[in-house]
Amino acid sequence: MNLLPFRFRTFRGRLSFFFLSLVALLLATTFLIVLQANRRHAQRQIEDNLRAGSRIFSTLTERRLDELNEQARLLAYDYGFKQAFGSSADDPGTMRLAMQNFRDRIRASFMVLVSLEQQTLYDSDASKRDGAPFDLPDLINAAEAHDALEARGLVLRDGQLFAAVVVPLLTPEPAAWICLGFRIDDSSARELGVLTNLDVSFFAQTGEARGSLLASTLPDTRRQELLAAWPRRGQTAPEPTQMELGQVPFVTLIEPLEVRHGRVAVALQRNLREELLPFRALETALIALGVAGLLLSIIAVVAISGSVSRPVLRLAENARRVESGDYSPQPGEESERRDELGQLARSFQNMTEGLAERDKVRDLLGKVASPAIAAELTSRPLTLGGEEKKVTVLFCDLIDFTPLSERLTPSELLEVLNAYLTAMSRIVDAHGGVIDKYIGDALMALFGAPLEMPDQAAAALRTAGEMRTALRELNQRLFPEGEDALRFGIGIHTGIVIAGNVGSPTRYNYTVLGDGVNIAARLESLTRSADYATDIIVSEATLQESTETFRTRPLGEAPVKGKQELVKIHALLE
Amino acid sequence: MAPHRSFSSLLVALCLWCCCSSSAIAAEIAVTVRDSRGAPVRDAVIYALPVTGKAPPARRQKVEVQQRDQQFLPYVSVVQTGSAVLFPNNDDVKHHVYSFSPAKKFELPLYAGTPAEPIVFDKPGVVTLGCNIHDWMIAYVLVVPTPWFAVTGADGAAQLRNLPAGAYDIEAWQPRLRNQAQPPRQRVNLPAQSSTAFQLDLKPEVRLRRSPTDSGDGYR
Repeated sequence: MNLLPFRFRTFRGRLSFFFLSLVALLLATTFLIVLQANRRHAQRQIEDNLRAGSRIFSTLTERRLDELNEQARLLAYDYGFKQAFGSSADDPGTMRLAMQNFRDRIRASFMVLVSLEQQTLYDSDASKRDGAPFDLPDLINAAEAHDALEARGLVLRDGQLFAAVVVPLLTPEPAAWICLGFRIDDSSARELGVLTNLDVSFFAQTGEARGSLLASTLPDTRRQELLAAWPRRGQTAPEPTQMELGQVPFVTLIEPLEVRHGRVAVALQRNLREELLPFRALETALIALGVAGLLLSIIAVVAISGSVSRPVLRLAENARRVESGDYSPQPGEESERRDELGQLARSFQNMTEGLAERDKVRDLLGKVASPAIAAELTSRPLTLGGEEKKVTVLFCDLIDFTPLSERLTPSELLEVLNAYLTAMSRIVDAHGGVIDKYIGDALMALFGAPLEMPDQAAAALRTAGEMRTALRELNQRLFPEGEDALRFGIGIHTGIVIAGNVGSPTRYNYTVLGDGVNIAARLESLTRSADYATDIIVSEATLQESTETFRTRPLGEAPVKGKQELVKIHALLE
Repeated sequence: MAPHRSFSSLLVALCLWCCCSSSAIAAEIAVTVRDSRGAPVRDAVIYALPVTGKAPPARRQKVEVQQRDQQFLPYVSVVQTGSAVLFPNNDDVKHHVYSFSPAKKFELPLYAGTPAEPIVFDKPGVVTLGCNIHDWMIAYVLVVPTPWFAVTGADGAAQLRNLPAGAYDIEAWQPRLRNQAQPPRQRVNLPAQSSTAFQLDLKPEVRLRRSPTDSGDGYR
């Protein structure tokens, strides 16, 4: 089951990949959650700021109107003004100048004196209005309806926005209405903007046209964009909405203003980009933190996976060496570790030592026994007992060896004997025979046991022939003068024997027992008889068993010790 | 002060008696004034204008509108054209009495006690009095071309006395009268008619709040 479209070649890679994926997932999730919370918080804070700005705006407007009202009231009680008004019928010029003076004294934009019948008596700025019906009757009506005979509010007059108040001229009873107006222009908007920390724009909505911007804190380029983005007539945005002004998002609140003689809305805005700056900084910090965390994780994961995989790799390397037969101890820091890997390393070391021990034993076994027997012994559970098998037994013994042994020193003797046995054994091995045992200067070889051998008789015969040649060569090498040459006799017989482990449960040999063995030994001893004049005697049974034909000379029948019938024997010729 | 005052009333009574005796029978008429809801109206001025147009000239009567406890007293006065009015200040603070009314513009800048010269009201009409330093102080003097006038009390009733028999136009005026230019008028024949009633269309009362440092209820 592999869910990935690729496969890791190393455990370390897989470990690193999964750890890093986990860390990245964790970081990404955390980042996203914090990011979302951050955004939500920013949005809410901006909206709260906007609403707070809106409340401040309303309060400021109310306050400003209150102030204007107070100022107008003070003016209305001015005795000099009352006097001027009292004599105005005779001197309208003085009255107008007095009004202009008062208008400037409180920095109003206009001042109008209105009769109780709502006729314009004097307009501080335009005498042509004198005598005409006052153009802001709603304000006067509101004052008439009010207990203190005062009214105030925002009015649209001649396409401009004013904060206006109406107070009565009391002499001491109401004799006329004083109407004072204060233009709301860019500087008023700026003042509001500074106090509310918002962009403030006043917008007149007149007729079907889009209307006009009355005052704003926005720079000129933005004003055009605001005009273009302004919602259709009559629409407002009582909830904060987003408005693009020249690709810059502004959170916008559009509220209708209570204005007499016109429809005016105010837009309270905040540059979202500027507002989000601290939040963006937080996001950047978060990203940096995430990246740093990921990098640290990479370093940590690489280090951890390395500390896991390095000893594993070394163990694998050791295993390969052991596989190729190198059991030399490889001390490493792994076995010093206290964790599972340390245990594994120690177990592996123990195992290697065990394997080395076993190999040493097997090697030894191969030397003391024949490799085939050693293999047979180690491949099966070791039990006593054996099986009947047809085996060709080759018996080879040195003749007249005793005089030689008396003449040579023991070490010289051992050297000669070893050279002889080594040469003979090599030939046996080469033909698939198995050295069953050495008995002094004699050797016994088996063909067909422990391993089955289809051409056991031919192999034994070929072996014997080559042994004869090998002995001749050995004699020429050991005794160049021709004195003291070694002579051997070989007997070969093929018959049924018992093959198996013989001995006690603590110590036993693999060997063969039976008449076949005795007959081969008997045939070997017949070679000592000068009557037969041969060094290799083979039984008829072996010749019949052989798949090849060898040159032989029949020697008739010979009695065999312990046997009633005679055995037909042949001499193996060169 | 009290002996002086009783003397002057005696003098007035004597004069009235002389008047009446000269024009045969002296009549009188009771007038009640109510507002549009039927409530009695106080401070309403009732005056009778002889249809013939001849009213006796004003006598040298002494009329006072005093200032007491930073209020004018009385709130509404009525005088015959040509009367002189004194404005005695009975407070221990000064007052600045003024009028910008067309019937009589005058000004008594900050003074204490009684000004030596009275103000002569020589044109008929409403004179609204104010005080420049006490915005809430207000009073009215109605100047009428007739000696027969009276001011209603809390019961809205007033009595015109000692009128010679004949036809009169009786008019009623009140500071809150909605149509100040043309007060309601009724023609009566005396002594055949002994009473009449007016129903006045009044504006709601508007009073300025008094300065809170003053004693009293805060209203005029």
